[in-house]
Amino acid sequence: MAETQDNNQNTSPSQQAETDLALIRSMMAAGRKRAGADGAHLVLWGALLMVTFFVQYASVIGRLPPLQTSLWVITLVIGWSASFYLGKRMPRAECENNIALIGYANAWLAVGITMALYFITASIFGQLDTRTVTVLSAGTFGSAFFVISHVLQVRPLRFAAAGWWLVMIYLVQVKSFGPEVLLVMGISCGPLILVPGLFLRRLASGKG
Amino acid sequence: MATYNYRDIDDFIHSRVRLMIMSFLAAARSADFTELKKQLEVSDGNLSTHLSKLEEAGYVALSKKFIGKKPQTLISISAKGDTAFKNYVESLAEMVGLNPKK
Repeated sequence: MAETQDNNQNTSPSQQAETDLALIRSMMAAGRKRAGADGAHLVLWGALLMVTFFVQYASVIGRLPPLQTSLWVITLVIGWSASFYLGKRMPRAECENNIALIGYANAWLAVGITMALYFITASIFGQLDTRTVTVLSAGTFGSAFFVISHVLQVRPLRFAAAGWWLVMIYLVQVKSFGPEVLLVMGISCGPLILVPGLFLRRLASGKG
Repeated sequence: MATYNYRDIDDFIHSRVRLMIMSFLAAARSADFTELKKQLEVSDGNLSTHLSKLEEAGYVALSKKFIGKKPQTLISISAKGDTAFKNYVESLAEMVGLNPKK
């Protein structure tokens, strides 16, 4: 391939510089796609949490038998197992020294660890509180989206962060913590986890 | 019109292939040899030559390892490479009247 300094005989220096900048932009865009997460984990957890909240709602209003704790144990086992499988499937070369992917993975790992620690500790000591777990999850989801919007340089993810923080504010101020909160959480998982996941998948496939 | 002073331009980066390598790595941070070859649409030999020059300048680091039974060369941009690339882009931007240096 011809060297840049050799192929500018017929172009002015500034035209050559513009051509070089265009080349840099296109290669950096390709590099960013490579560095980006494919959103598979978000699609998985978005769908899983949405279903879980709706099933829990049906259970609480008496449409399904009581299964509150066992339902969440099943969700966590499925979610963590599938996440582990998705992580193993990703080529190691794509993960190593890839700051964006490391930031993305660790933001969600921090959410997972926080939620698992709360769930296990609260269950052991009989302190499992619905309001606390939902406020904690909404707050940590918002924080994780805020971090990944920066590390992946995908600004629209900030809307998901803002959305979860609004959900958190709603959860903190609501007087009666009834079944409708489960509906709010289930519905929120769609536009605020599943859709961002699908958006990232689209970006990763180069259609975004 | 501003002048394009080639003496100010980093010669290690100022080649089409090396510029493409540095631009890709500046965003991706690392890539394996096969992936880079596919992105750049160049031959093994051509890519190796350009990577050697960038490695010689300390702009990229090459590490070889085995994934299963397959050998793999991972190329990462170094801190020095990052700085050199940013300076190079700034020089170009200045050339076309964007982000002029004070």
